Amino acid sequence: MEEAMDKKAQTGDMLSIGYFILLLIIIGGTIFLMSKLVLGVAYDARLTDASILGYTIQKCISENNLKESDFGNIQQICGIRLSDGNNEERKFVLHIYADNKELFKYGDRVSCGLYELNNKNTRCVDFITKGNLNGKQTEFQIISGSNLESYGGSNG
Amino acid sequence: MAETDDSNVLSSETIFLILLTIFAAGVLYFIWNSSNSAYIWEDYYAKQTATFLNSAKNGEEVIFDIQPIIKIAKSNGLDISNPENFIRINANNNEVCVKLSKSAGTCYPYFNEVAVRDIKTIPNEDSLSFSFIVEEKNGGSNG
Repeated sequence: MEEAMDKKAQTGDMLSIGYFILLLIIIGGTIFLMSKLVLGVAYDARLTDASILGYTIQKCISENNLKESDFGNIQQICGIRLSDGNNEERKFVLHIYADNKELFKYGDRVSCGLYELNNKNTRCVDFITKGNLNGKQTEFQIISGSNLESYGGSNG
Repeated sequence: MAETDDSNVLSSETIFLILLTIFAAGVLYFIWNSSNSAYIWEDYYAKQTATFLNSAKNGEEVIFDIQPIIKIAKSNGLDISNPENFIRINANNNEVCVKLSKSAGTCYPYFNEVAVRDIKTIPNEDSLSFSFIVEEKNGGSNG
């Protein structure tokens, strides 16, 4: 009889320790989530990136007499690099159009239209500018965007 | 039998106390780390410096205040005498890395094909500024 009661008491102890651990996990989880909500909102630089990229290209197009064939080389001409040191694509969008023709394409501009639905999509800016193309005054449309995030560096 | 009961009660109380101590220590450590907020400042300064580099022209000098992050870097035991210990601009990979704790730091890329020279800190009356001169990397017509 006493042995049975001891076993019951032990089971009760184990159960209460289990509930206690569960309670600590819930309290700890709540503290963690709340602090992430309050402190974990990263500064969003995507719109600034997209605007400066678009402005750089707009300025470059309007200041240079470009030919259609130059647009394959537009990154060197305008002094920008959209990929990293290993030539891996970065999360930029840059599309340049003139006379309903696509002259340059980098990244997926479909995600630009999805930003309103989900702010994890690319932030884009649309520019219209005038410049010379093949010696003729032409209207250009520039769509620039960024979906960059910061990442951990290498130690040292 | 009564002895066994006592030791059971004692052991369960001890377990509760140990668990509570571990939990309290964990919460305190987490709150200390969050209040230090090194990651948030690393992220902010990496993005701001990348923005300066994206909009900078050849020969321009960029100067900005780093007093808020100096305090954090100091409290995390970093050597602040050399500015490149906490803000590093890697022109080969077009990225800015900011490191304010013993962790690997936080990096953010920039697209402007520029490099920097003359990186230095400038002490002011009650603050500290970080400065560098931007120079073109390979003869692009930007700027």
